[in-house]
Amino acid sequence: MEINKIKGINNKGEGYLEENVIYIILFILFLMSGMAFLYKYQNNVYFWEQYYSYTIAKSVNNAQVGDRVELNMDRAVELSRKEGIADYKQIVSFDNVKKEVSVSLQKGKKTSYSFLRNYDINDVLIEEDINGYFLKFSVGAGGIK
Amino acid sequence: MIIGKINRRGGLGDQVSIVYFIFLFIIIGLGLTWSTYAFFGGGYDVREVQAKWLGNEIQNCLTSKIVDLSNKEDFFIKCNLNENVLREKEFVVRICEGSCYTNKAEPLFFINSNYQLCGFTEVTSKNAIRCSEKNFELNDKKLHLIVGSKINPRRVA
Repeated sequence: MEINKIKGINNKGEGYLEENVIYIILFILFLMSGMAFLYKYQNNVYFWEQYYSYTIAKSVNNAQVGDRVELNMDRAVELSRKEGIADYKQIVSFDNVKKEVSVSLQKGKKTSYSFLRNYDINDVLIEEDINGYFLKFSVGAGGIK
Repeated sequence: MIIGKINRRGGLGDQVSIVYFIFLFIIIGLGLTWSTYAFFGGGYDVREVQAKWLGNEIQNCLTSKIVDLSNKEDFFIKCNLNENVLREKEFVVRICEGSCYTNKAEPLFFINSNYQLCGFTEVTSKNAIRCSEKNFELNDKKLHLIVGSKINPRRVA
């Protein structure tokens, strides 16, 4: 009699667990998608693209013709690697017609900002030295108004 | 018979609880999404800083060089600014004798004409213009300079 009672309790327990498997799976799926979402945003790539494009444009605005500008790009290079960009030398580009600088830290996307001076930007490169990664470019007189 | 009724009620209870469970997930998911965007999605707002920088540059240019404000080309060359960018990116520049808001006369110089929006400081929209204003003297004239910027770094696919 006692054994039967215990068996009954056990059966109820198993049923309860089976019924809740779906809840556990749903919870794990939800947790994983939440973690993936947060992981994607923790790099905050868009913010850093905005930050670097504005900082570079500001440097151009404050430069004089003939200046050679150097800017540290450690954070940008690190983020671009995390986002799967193999060649960090391509993350910054200048458009001398639109007077615009573009920063791309994510594949297929870039953030652009205009500088207000009538300059042309030449000899653009990103180099690694003992102090980190540096964006280097020369400021020349612009031909287009 | 009674047992059957009880079982059906139990089944209904299961359906209610799974709907409640999913509803709870949706609420938590929306909360997570909103808080992430609120924390990370603010972006980098440079409109006001850019307007102040441009205002300072123009004031320095006008006070340190002899600029003919009636000749726009002379202004852009001497102040070393790119006209196309200022026009296309909807920067506002207006220089008036006295006050630009009250003076009925023509401005001495302007780029883009919607300077009136600079008077509405309570507009806090992401796309609203942010302005910088300066009053200074030049050749015994009291000048009012309004500079506005509405462009932040923009993302393109």
